[in-house]
Amino acid sequence: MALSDTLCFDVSLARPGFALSMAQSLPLSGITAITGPSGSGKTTLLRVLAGLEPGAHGTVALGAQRLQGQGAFIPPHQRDIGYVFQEPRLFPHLNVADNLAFGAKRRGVGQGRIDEVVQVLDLGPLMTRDIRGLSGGEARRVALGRVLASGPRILFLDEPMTGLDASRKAEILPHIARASHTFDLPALFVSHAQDEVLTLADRVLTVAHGKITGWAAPPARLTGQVIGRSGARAMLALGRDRVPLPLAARIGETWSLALSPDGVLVSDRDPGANSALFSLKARVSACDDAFLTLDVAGQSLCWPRSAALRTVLPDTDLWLSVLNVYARPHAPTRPHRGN
Amino acid sequence: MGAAIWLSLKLAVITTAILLVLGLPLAWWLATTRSRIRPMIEALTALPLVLPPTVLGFYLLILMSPNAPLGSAFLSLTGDTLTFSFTGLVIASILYSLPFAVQPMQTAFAAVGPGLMEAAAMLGASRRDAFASVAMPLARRGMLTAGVLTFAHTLGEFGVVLMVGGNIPGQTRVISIEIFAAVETLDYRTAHILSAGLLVLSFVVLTFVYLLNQGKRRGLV
Repeated sequence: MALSDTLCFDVSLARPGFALSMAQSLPLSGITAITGPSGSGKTTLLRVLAGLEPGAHGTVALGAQRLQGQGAFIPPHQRDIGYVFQEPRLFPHLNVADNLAFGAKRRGVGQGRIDEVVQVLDLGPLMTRDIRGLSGGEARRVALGRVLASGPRILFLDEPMTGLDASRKAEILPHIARASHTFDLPALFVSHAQDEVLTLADRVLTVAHGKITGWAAPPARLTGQVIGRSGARAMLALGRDRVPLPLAARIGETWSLALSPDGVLVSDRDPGANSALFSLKARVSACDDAFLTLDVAGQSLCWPRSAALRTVLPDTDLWLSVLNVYARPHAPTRPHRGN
Repeated sequence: MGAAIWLSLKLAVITTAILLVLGLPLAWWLATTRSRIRPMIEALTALPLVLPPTVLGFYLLILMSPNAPLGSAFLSLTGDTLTFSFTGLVIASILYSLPFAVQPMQTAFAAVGPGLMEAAAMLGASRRDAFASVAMPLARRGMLTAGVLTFAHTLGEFGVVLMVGGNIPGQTRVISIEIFAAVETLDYRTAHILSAGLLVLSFVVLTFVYLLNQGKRRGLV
């Protein structure tokens, strides 16, 4: 991986009762989730990288550009980082349109980009609204749009769905995935919610006690195309199967479904009609001690081999009854494992 | 009587204008700094609230006397003494009304908070830009309150004026001094007119300030 395609950092910060010391090189592609328990330093890491913690030491380089280190310190407003905070932090004296234009104006980004953001995030109906009249979900969308419109090189998402209920979350999550994809923006996504991480992450970095503890395995994913809608459901084509799913999907989009082992029942015969969202037939194409390689809907799926799957042999058929999916628009980029 | 009213208004307008300009950066610094000396600077700023005007006036008189560095510098520059002059009154008023300008602005800036300033920075706004485009518009009610309170407070000052300005018609004889002089000479008519004028004006000004703050609580304005 070329140096110009990474966010490289080796930083430390000491505060009373808390010390952060993290070094890593993150690829500038797709969505990198940073996850860990509360107080582990996830948010602080983003703040340090953004230049918002004046007490931090060390080096940060975004591609070929050195942001800090060796005597240099580029102030936050000159770092091309789009930072979406936990709270929307919209400017209450400006309406939605002026909030969206705030960063674009200062970073010399044209009206075309703003129009594109408005379209991708579906902000059109909100443009003339006052900030105080927005719902929680709308405010998050405007906050995301404001950052996208400023044309950053990388997106920092600091638990951008804090305080939203499940349905609002389901509304925002696809927008984040679309934004990252449409604007070809790599993102660091801080979250401690497993469902958000499963939905969005192309790779998962774990932190604890102010230190990086490693990479977690990215979720197994299937991709399918949205070929129709009926009511609140989108019809997804997975190979020859047609699967109706409750997604805010647009026809023609490719969606990626993360399957978690907890959300899938695996059986060795056709389960017939059951309460699962859908069932898929899978063929075991290879296996080792830890994983099965499944051929599902023409796609290859790496599946953890639990105790119940000990006796499974290659070239046998299995049925996956999917109880729960973590879906987002657009196919995942190449996952990153290890260093 | 007309000269006194005119002088008081002139003094209040000039003092308010200077204090808004000087108080703005001070209020911003007090609202945002993490410096350890902040409590001391805050205390210094608030001193005129609790000190008797005579104490403040006494020290100013000493500072501005032609024997002191400040007074002698002014004398050699302008050929005039600072004490018992209108310029001296302006300087005294600035110090005397300082907390009335600084505190409302400081409160307003503190209410803006660091979150929006960080958001502005991450959207490409320099500190100065964020101050002008985010902090100032959001603190405009605090600035208006500061201006109105400073104006009203300066209009009614007495003790400090008497100490450093004396009672020179057209130079330092402001409304409150005129009232004092009128009462001394048993000219109750003048005293009534001026007192009632100040009373009504102060009431109107304070009502305006409280209306402003009520609007803020209700999310209006």
